Amino acid sequence: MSLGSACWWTLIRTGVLCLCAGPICVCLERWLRQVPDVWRPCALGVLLAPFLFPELLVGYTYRGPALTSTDVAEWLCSGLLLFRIVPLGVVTLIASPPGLASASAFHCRWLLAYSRGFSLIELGRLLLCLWHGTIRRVLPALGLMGLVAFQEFELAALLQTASWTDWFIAAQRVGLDRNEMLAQSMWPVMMQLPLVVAIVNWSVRPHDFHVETNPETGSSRKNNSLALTYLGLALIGGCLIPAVFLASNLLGGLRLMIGQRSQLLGLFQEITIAVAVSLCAGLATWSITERFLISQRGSQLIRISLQAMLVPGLAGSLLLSLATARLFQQTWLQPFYDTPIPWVVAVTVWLLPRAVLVRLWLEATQPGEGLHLAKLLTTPVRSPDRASTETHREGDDQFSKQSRLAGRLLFRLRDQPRLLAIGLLCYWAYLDLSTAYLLAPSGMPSGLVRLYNFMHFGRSAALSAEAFAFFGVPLGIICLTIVILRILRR
Amino acid sequence: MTDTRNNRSAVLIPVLAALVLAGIWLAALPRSDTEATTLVVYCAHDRIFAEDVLNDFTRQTGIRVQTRFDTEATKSLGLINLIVQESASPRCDVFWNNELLGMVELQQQGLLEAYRGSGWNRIPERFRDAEGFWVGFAARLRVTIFNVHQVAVSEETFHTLLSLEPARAAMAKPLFGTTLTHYTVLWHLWGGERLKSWHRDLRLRGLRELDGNAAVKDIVARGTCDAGLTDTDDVFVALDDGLHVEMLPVRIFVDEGTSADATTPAEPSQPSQPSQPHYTVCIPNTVGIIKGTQKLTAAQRLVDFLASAETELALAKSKARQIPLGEVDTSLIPMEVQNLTAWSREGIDLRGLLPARRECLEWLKTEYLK
Repeated sequence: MSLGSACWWTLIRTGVLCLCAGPICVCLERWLRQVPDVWRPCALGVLLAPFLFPELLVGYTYRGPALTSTDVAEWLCSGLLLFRIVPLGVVTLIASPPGLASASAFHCRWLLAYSRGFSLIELGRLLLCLWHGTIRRVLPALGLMGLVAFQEFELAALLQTASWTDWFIAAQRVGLDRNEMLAQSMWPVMMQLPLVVAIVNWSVRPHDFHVETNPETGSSRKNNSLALTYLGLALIGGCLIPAVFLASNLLGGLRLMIGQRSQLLGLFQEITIAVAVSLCAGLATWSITERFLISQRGSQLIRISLQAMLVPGLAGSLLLSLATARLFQQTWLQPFYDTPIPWVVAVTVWLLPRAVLVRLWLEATQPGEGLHLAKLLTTPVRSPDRASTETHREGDDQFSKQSRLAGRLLFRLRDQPRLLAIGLLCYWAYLDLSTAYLLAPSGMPSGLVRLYNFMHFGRSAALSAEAFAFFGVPLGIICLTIVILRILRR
Repeated sequence: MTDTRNNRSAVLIPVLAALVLAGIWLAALPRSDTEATTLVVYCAHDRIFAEDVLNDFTRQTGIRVQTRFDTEATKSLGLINLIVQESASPRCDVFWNNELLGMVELQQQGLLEAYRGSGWNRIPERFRDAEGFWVGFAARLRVTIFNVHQVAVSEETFHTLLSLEPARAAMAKPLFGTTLTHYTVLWHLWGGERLKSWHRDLRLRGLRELDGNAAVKDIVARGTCDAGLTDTDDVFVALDDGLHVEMLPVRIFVDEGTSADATTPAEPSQPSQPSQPHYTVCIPNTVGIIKGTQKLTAAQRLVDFLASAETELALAKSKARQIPLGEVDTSLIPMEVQNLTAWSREGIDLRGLLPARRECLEWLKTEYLK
């Protein structure tokens, strides 16, 4: 398949997926807004699980059935992609500012147009109302979902469906002429450009939003049951089946792995490398986003340059990695080529747009008033007419106690979500195959490349054990750290 | 105050993480006093088999090896292009390729260092470069894999399948790896035009093309296809897993009349008949030293080690069951590998096929990438 055909095919798939995902996102957003505050983290977890579940494992699970026929592969790939993009759409919808025209306004405009017999002018006004209302609000979500679906690499590769990313990997492998590669990359770049522009524009726009709860209505019950049905399907298809598939071979694989000590040591070394790179990139991305992209600090030039840096990140990790490898091979940056620098730089740039989205999401969900009150609690308030030093000391004791509690409150309200956000960025960095495969220096391979390699052989026992170690070890360390921190704080 | 602290930590934590990363990288770097004891090896052979061999090398010599593997789907060609791209300042010392023609390509581009050591001496002439730029060892055969529950295992079956129902047959995309070598042999023996029309006809009639030989094995073992073209090591993986498959080596007939049968497998019980001259496709691993390496002695030791009888035996006994090319104690070779040895002797001499490979690859690029 030529690149042109592959691009068009991917674009059509993306378009169809976005059209299907749009109503599902709206339905899920409504449902999420009605979930009581106590249950919202749980609901979010369930919603995001299919997006966060390692893509490699999902692709590997369905690789067998996908081999049956190209049609089955295409259906599977599209279905799994849908599960992955919908959570992203919902989160973006929640983080998007409300439309300028409300649903009631649209309804009134509709009634007016109806009473005037739907003349061309009235239809135009109706469309304008729709644009300022629903469409403008849904557009960023559709753009982001489209971008993720269009850039899909691992699922398409493992399920062997047509995709422009596959073409690029093949072209890179056979050593297609550099100029030709550059010329050909215009295809996907041009196709993504409108989406990228829309998202960059959205992400740098001021956001004023909050998650609100709506009273339950008759139609919302229907909405809820639809949302829950979808969530059940996504959870089973996108997480549960792959997890069961992985677990079914786990014991045998673990036995095999424990028997091969040198391989085990190699794996742990690769896990350490992947963790270090992802921590480095995740934290750097967060710092850049906090300091320059969101807080509007730094000179205008720096901010504009950093905003421009969102664009290569939106081009996807595959194109970005190929370009970074070329850059470090061919220019004065060559001395840094065989170091972790290109890897970290590429992951950081790739994560930037995601970091902006996560940051905006945090802003959307953070209780502003509560945070302000907690901050006030950390400032000492003393009455000017203190009678004695004893009262003064009592006041100090009380304040230190209050400030300790305020610190805890601030941690819960502000720092904990930030830590979670940084963790999410590190997790994405940890799971990105293209950058790890194309940019890791010699002697510093990532365990993810090893997993990807195994997936093409179909050695499921070894794969299960390695995947368990690859995803389980960092998770175990995080849990252990949390437990230790809690014990220490007591 | 809290904000100031947060700002400070926002800068300090990434710096700290960067320092940790730099530490890991520096630890991975060879130290100046032990520079000669760490080799960077690019390896196109399956990681699961190659890792053990390289670990043995480290154990025996004390020379550390940092290996960069390629993925199954893009086997060998990716690393070859990487070596070409890095030729200005190479980071690879030794290239362990899983086929031969890519190594000849690197030799032609002047990227290899000649070395004729003990390993080179023990390998038959047609599996090594005359000047020692590379040496072959431990080979695989191109084979046809059959699902024994669905079809009879014979040359005729595959021939009929390709003629009547190519959608029931599978093959990896010939842009990479051993399938590319297979196509190069066909290009050489048949000529370009004939290969092109054969290939286009099969594709038009629905031949299943997959991303690698392992996928071909999977699709046949699952019964989605009845037969397919793959390598011996993939078939052995399926057999070890208890799957109902069998294989026959691919024979390419030189005779014009019979070569119209395209690529056909041979009956294992009936080796070549004198009236039908034919070749099998026996593809050795190859190893070569990259020009400009600063660790020449260590690299030479690795080349000797890989082309040694010990490594060949280890690879013959591994799950890949690769065929030893040099002299080894035959009693130590597993029976299933001994069965393949006779077929490997009928393998075509691949050394002179670089022009055919280049032409074939150029054509394949237009087929798959334009």
